[in-house]
Amino acid sequence: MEVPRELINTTWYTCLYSLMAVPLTLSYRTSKVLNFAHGIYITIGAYIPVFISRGLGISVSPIIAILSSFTAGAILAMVSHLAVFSPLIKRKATPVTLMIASMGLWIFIKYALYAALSILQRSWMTQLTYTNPNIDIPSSISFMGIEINARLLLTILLVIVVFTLLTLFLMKTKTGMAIRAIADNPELAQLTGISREKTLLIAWAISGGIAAIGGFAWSIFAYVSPETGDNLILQVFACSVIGGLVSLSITFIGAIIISSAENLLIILLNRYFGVELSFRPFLSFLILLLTILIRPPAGAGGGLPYRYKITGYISRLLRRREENV
Amino acid sequence: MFDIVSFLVSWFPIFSIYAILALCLNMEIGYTGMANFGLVAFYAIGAFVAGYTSMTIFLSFYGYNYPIYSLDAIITMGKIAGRTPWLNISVFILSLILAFLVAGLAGYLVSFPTLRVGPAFLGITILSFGEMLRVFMKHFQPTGGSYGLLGIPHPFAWVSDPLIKNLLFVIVTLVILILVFIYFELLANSPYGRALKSIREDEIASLCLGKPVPRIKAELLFVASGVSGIAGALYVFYLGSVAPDMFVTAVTFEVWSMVILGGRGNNMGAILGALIFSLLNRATAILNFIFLDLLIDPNYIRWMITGILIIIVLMYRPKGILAEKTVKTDAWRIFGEAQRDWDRITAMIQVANRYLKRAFHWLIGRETK
Amino acid sequence: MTNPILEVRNVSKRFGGVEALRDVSLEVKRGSITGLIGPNGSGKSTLFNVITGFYKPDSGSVYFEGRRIDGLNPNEIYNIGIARTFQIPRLFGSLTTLENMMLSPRGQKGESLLRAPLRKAWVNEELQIANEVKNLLKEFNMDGAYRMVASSLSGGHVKMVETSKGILGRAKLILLDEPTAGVHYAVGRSLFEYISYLRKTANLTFFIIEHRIDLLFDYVDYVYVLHMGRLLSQGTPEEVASDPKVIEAYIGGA
Repeated sequence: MEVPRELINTTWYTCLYSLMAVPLTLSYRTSKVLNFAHGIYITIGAYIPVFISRGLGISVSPIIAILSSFTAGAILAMVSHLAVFSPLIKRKATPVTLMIASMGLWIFIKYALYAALSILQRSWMTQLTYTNPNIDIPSSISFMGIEINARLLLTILLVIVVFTLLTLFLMKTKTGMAIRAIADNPELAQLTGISREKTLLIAWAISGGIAAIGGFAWSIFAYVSPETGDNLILQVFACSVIGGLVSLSITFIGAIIISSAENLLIILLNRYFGVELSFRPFLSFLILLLTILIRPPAGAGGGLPYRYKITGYISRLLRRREENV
Repeated sequence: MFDIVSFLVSWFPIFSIYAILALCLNMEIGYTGMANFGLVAFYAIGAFVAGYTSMTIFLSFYGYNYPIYSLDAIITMGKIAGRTPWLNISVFILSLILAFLVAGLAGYLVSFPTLRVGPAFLGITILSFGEMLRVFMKHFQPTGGSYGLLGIPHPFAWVSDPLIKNLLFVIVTLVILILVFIYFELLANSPYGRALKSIREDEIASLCLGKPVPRIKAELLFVASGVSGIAGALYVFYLGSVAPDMFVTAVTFEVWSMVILGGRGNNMGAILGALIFSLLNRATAILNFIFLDLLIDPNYIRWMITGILIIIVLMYRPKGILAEKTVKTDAWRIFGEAQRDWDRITAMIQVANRYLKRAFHWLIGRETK
Repeated sequence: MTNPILEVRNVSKRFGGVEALRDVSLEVKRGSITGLIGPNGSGKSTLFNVITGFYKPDSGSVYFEGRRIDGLNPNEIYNIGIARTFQIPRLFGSLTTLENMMLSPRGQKGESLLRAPLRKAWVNEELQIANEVKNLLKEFNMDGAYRMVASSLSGGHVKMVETSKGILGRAKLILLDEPTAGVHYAVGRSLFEYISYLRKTANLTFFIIEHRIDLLFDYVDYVYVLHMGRLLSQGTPEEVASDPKVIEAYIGGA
């Protein structure tokens, strides 16, 4: 039985985008920092297995790779919070200031990675950009007579396990509930004796860690380069905006929407309307714009009580008709 | 050994292009509080528009119909670029105007859905717009895909001495920089500039004082994006080529660093920031040139320093080197306060003029005697 | 002159499942000081937000000088002559007092993109407004405060600057949302003195939300009481104060 390639790609991209976008939403919702450095957590997560496998010259078991990616991402996110965001928030920085600080962080880590790569490439005498880690996975698994791509299977399993654990953590544990409380009402949460600093740190660790797992999932899907995370950032942002930067589950739905638009919709448009495949990034951007236009995110993003003239004009026309009747 | 003139002609255009970009961003973030994280998109639009129009006009003027990205076109351009001075100049001016209009329009349209939403969403949208545009241009054949365009005619290609040619370009960029600076200073020190600052402080309160906040934001994005487009066009004429990968998000960050280091809400600060970073840029380029085979590219180090520097500035001196000034309109005169800065300058000019006249009369009187 | 300057007819507004306003109708007479009271969460601020264009009512309509204004944007509302203040004053923190006050006059010539660089187009208007600001500041006894940054002003001064927005903006109707919140009783009383002085001299109309009912009742002509999004009672201060429904709502609400 042959499954269409587009369908496989859609599934795969859904898994990847959800692993990358859900933590972005989580971190924005808890800390109110829109983190442009998010892409670099993904990149680092993709590079950790490469470093391990190339550095030691072995092929790594997937579990070790996942755990080490998670750890690296979590540490990186915690360090960003402790060194940059937390001190800035204490100095009453505006959201824009926090964004630009996250951009500074992103540039710093990215070029530090570039520098590290150029040193390591010399000392290990091996190519480290546009490469894949050696992970211990068979190319395919035969299951009841059906050949299944083992890497895809691993990615799907990873999504299921990660999100089940995340849901359980947020719903059942005391820390998880504290995270939700901080996200919904920071002042009230602090009154109830939740330590804001500690809770935020854990939230950052989790979001950085999951993003890094997303990076690992990318590394068994395609080549890894220092630009990996940056190249994905448009889609990841689009998913999070669909979730309004608030809802984790709608962010997941956003991942489904974006990946199907990029893999299925574009094929359909190409076949029936002759739209070129290079319009792919346009689609994601269009979805992002439409989301903002149709569902202007009020509370979470801060908004302006303003109605555009056209809609106002239409409603006035309608009302005039009502009055005439 | 160190040639000051050749340093000037290679450094100054880059400096003034970045200074123009920094001025635009300063109007957006420093005055209006709009976090434009996709500045590079409008810069890129200006660049591509200029490259496209000048190549197309030149080739069709001489009756060639090669695609503008083809090798033939590049070779032909090398031959025809210096033949008709008036064509070079008029194409240059036309490109600047078109770059302004197209980039401005793009800014206006992109801003539209984002005017009502908060800074986080505005940031995401414009940043994504820049990334989308770059990825799209890489696949867009009419402007040469990821290789871009080469052989774009220099506006002074008809000058035979390369030094004079480059000096003329330096003068042009200097004039444009000064014009942009004066325009933005006039805008900032007017009731309009005051309204801009009120939007930055509290857009809801500003709306409640009758300021049409979304319209003002859209207008300002039109102007600032358009001027960024002019900077892009200048960059293309300076380099003679344009390619999508010149316009990565890091460029936006570099301009942001200039504005933040120099001082948000202060146009002189933006220029100072551009000066510092373009010199830093130059220094790494020289390092790169002297030590050809470095273990680590000095550019990486420069970027790392920039990233850290910005975080440090935000933490310990969020106002930047030059702090913001009040909106200098004539209202201050009622309270007996100093005028706009150039009211002093005009006063000085008047005094100078008086002395000159006196000197002139004295001279004439002497001659007639 | 007897016709109402502001008329709210059967306005309802829901937020999700919560009914913030239900079929509220009221009138503000020209040249009056009208009060709006009610326990917390009774929908007073929502009503102000509907009048000033922050929200569009789900049903019902708002008329200002006979013109229908619901559905207009906040800036348009200001430009037809309704100014408002906020419960927590929203001055432009890092601008000076002078700049804050200069922002209030509506329809300034220099606030258009095309005219802004041409100093001649707006300089006369600018000087005129600045003179007016200077006189107002003198009236407020805060002459020296013009170059102070708004975030460093004292609570009473902030309230004065906030109230001055309506005067400078040539508003006909001023909506004040808890003008005396967070200031001393004496300052509050002087603010109300000033309000009633303005009503007489400048022919302004005031519509005021206030929690300090004792203070409010000394100065208002007419009072509306909101409770749970509905109009509970109305009348002169004496009538309202003796209305058993109002007393019950306040005791029950508190």
